[in-house]
Amino acid sequence: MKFFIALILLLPLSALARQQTMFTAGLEALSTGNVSPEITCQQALENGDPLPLHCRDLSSAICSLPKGPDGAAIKDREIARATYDPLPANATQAQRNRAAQDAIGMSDTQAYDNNSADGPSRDDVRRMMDPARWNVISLFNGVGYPSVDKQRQMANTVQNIRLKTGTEYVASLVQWGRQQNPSASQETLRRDAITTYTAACGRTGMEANAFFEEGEVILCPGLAYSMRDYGNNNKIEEIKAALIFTMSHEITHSIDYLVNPTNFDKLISCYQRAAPDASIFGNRNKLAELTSDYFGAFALGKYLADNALKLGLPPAATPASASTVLRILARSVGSYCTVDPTDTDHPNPSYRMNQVLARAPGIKAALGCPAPTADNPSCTLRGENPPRPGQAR
Amino acid sequence: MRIQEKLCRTDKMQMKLLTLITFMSCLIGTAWSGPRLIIEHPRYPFLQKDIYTVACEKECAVKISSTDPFSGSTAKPLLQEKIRALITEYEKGEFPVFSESPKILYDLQVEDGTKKFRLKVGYPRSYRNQEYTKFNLLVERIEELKFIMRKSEKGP
Repeated sequence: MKFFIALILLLPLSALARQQTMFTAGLEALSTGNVSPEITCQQALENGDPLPLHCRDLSSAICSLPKGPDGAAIKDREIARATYDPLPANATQAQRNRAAQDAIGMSDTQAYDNNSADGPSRDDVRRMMDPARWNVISLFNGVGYPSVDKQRQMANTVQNIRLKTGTEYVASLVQWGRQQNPSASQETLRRDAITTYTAACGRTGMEANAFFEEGEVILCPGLAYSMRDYGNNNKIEEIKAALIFTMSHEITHSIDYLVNPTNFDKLISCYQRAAPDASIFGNRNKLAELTSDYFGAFALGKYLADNALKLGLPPAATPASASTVLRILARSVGSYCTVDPTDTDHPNPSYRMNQVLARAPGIKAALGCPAPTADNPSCTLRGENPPRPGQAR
Repeated sequence: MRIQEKLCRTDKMQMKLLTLITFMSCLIGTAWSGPRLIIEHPRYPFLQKDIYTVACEKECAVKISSTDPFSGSTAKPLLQEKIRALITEYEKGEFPVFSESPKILYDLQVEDGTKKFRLKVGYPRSYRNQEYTKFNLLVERIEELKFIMRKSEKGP
């Protein structure tokens, strides 16, 4: 009996020790390869030293970055305690709906309204849709590929995408419900919309989820909130940059590989040549995610260049500025680090980070990694950049 | 001869008893092997999944892997009843057909003895008209099950 009591008392300590080990492992991983963390990739190239980790294996560099407590999970439990916990197991639908309504109001406030120092405001978040949209459009505008008409179509589609933060999605669902079932009462429509909202964003809205649906990007409060988990330096500006990746990724689903596969022939072939992976090429859903990651990565790269001053990024990357960029990347795609072996719809996380993100010129430049070369090209809608010998442009 | 007859009768008795025990244990086994349920709940753009599982035997074992993980069990029949009602509604065609949406809201697998079904559920606006009404019913059922699961007695 005493043994079990001792075991129970020791368990939290062992969990703490494990967390500490992971934290230390993270710091060590950032400085492995006998490379001083103070050295830039350019200096390493000149000295003939191995490149710092983020220029060799971006995925490991992002995934080993120390992360703070999971703020969204903590808020989820707090809100659930105040709303769902007092209900009995056999609570009626009306009682559960009331709790859901209270909970999603709280998470919306936590994520977007109640955070002047800790995260961007709802207006800040809304304003990020413009650079996300324009950075996506800038990628195919003027490229002349696949055709001017198709470019116009894609630009029109992207320009009209709207953002719904948190509870705004409930209003969208009520409207959708009314169109589908004009005779349903307002009360029924709202009840159904709230239930669906909790399915999409979690019972309290604090699950990290974002998706594209019917011309709208839905950003659940949990996803915006979870971007706070990495460090406190220049937090709001870093989160705004991180939002660019997520928003651009979701915006691109309006024009992605599933919508028009031929638009991305050359892009896909480029990735296939650069890093063949049989599990990705041939799976339409994975190729759709790949195209969305491509636009997300380029849009973020462009945003980093356009907003270098706000983010404290010097014209030439330094080890300190590379750390800032790594932290922004971790806020955007840190969740990719959890590998799900049952996932059949997304390319594996290391591919997404080491091929798609790491090949984006803007991200390479911000991290101070060597520019694309013919041997290690960047992939674009028109194929390799720099182009392969004899490649038609 | 009499002794042999007696022994033979005892053997028959034993056989009958054995058959009865086998029959009873089969019956008990069937009675205890209750419904099972898995709700997979992907989150985008990373596709991390929340996974809710229920396996009912003598009681219903519940496991939730999500932002707020939970494991426990409940002896109450509420979960079993709700899962069985779900199967009945499915058989009556009260749930929507899969919309072929590229994004999945739920991947639902239900089994109760020989009855089983699997439903992949898309995001709401991939359903229209009557299918949207069915979608709402299914979402309500699943969210109710998730709620009841969290109300189980917490395990170790």
